[in-house]
Amino acid sequence: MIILNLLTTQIIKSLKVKQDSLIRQVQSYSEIEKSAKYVDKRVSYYKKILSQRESMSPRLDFILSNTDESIYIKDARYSLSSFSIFAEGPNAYTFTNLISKYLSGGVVSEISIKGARLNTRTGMFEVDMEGRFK
Amino acid sequence: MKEKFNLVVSNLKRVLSNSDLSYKIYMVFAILTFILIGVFGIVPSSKVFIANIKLAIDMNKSNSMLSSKLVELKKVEGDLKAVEDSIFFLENYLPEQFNVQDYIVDFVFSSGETDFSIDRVTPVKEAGDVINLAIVFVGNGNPVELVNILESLNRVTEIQDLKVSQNEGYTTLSMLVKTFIMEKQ
Repeated sequence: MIILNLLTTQIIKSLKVKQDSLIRQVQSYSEIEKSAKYVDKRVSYYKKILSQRESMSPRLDFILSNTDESIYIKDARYSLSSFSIFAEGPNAYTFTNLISKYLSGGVVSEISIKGARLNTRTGMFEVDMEGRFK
Repeated sequence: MKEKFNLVVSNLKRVLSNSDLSYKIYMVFAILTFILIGVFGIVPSSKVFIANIKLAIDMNKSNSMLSSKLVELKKVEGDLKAVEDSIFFLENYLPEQFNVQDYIVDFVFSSGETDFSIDRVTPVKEAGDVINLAIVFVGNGNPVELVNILESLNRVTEIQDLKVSQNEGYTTLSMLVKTFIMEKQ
């Protein structure tokens, strides 16, 4: 039994020596491990931002591409959820057509006309409208 | 005292001279000795041996883990060296610090591809890793094209609010842009 104990003690000593050496080697890589974790975290964060970002351009493209050439948008404001437009056109029909296009395109959920008037000086219809994106 | 001792010895000799009885006594002694050695010698030694074996197994396991960790770290070191150049791009796409000039350079290049130019850039609010910028572009280009280019920048740019107005043949685009940084912890 004493011999067996001596033998296992020797084995443990040699394992301890190996362990100390491994720990020293692993510790020498601590900075590398730290920077690798940081890079990984940064890449994950970047990917998360990319996947979550909402794009304004399809909304803007929809509004502008569906606007007839005879309609001149003087002022417009767009957010990711809504838009407001102040535009002038030759007659009321062009605006009816415009609203119809907006609502049937699957991008806009609602439109409300805030104001409409005929500019007697220019002979053009001026419409102030707001809408919400789906 | 000496007499008492001699009496005990002579009694003992007399008892042991009986071979049957002495055999039984020796047997009892032998059994007692065996039990004593077992309890106070072999059992503790066995316990030490079992503990040593358990310790050796645990140490072997942890050494294996450390060895695989070392292999993994060597691989990570190699991977990091391989992507060293890409880390530079990551710094551009998701900087650690907000430098307004870097953003202006990006926006100038982007607007240069359309017929717009930057009128002004104002940092609005910093909240943690999110930076908001108010930017005004002036020109005659296509607003959709400019917005598309800005939103396609590798440096993540989200247009939160956009105001388009026409003045004397020029289009003015005022936008609130959200960008991101990642502060080093």
